[in-house]
Amino acid sequence: MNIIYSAVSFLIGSATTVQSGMNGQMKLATGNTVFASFTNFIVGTAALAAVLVFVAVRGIYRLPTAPMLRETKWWMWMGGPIGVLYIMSLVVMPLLIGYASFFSMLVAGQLISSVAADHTGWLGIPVQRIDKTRLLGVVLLFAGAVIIQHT
Amino acid sequence: MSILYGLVTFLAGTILTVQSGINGQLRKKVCGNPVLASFFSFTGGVLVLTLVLAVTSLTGILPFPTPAMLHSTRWWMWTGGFVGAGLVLGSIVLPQKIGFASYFSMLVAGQLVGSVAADAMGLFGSDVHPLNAGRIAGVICLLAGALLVQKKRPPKTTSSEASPKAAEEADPDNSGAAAEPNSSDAGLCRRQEARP
Repeated sequence: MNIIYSAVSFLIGSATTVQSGMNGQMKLATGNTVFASFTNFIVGTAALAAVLVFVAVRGIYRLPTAPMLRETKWWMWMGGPIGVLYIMSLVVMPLLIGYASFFSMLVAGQLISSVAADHTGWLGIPVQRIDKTRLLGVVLLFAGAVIIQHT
Repeated sequence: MSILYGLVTFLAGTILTVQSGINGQLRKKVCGNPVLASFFSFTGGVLVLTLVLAVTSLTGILPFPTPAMLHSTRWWMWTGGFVGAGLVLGSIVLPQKIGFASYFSMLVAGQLVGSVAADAMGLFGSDVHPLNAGRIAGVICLLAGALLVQKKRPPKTTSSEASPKAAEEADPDNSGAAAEPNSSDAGLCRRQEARP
């Protein structure tokens, strides 16, 4: 089963390449970066609303009651807003430091934060300690990212 | 100064992990429904972007697209959001199954292998960067690294990982309600059913 989950993760990663191409073309056509991000989020929200109706009607997932929603903490609602920060950084930072440095640092941030999250069991995830295999894997991933950006 | 920019970029890279963790916590509060958690996440993003769009348009920092510009767009330029929705949904569901590092290492490998392929074909109007020895070596490093991160570790399934379908079959009262959508609390989960 884990192989399937890993394969799906890889496919999602490849799909984001296509997404970034589509958003880039939207930015070229409209000359407005924020507008391109905005349409991206609007379409995503509409798609999720459709899926939500489907899974709720079919009883695949259930919906919370209003009191349950009031029990949420404020920071649980910050996932979307910080996602906007991420999207904005994709546009602004490469102009400042160049694409090669940008992608290397971005990938380093992704890998190190995810390994650290596993190691500490952050936010309720099962703990997976750093070991030599995992460290070697992360070093190879980073090396691969740097090599591709410089060739 | 570029050290500062590099640091900011590094922090931007950590955002996806943090976002995935935050949305995962929200999911626990909404009956374990990952679609609803993704929907709320996107709604928050829309609100912030609406504000940013209004400010940049009104101040003239970034002029709002003219109708002629909007007519010049192609239909597929509007479909990037579907991938974005899939990414956020996947980032909620998959790290719970295989861990953050396994998920993000596969994601990064997929992204970079995908971009090498896109460059080689000159997709989306980018300059063609043909495959060369360096890029092939980079791809091999990425795939080997991602596979090493996936390696071993026994599957840790907890009671909270039980599939919603199984939970529903074990609860005849609720499947009855789900089959009757007109009922006022159809499809709602009771508080004591909220997953820990």
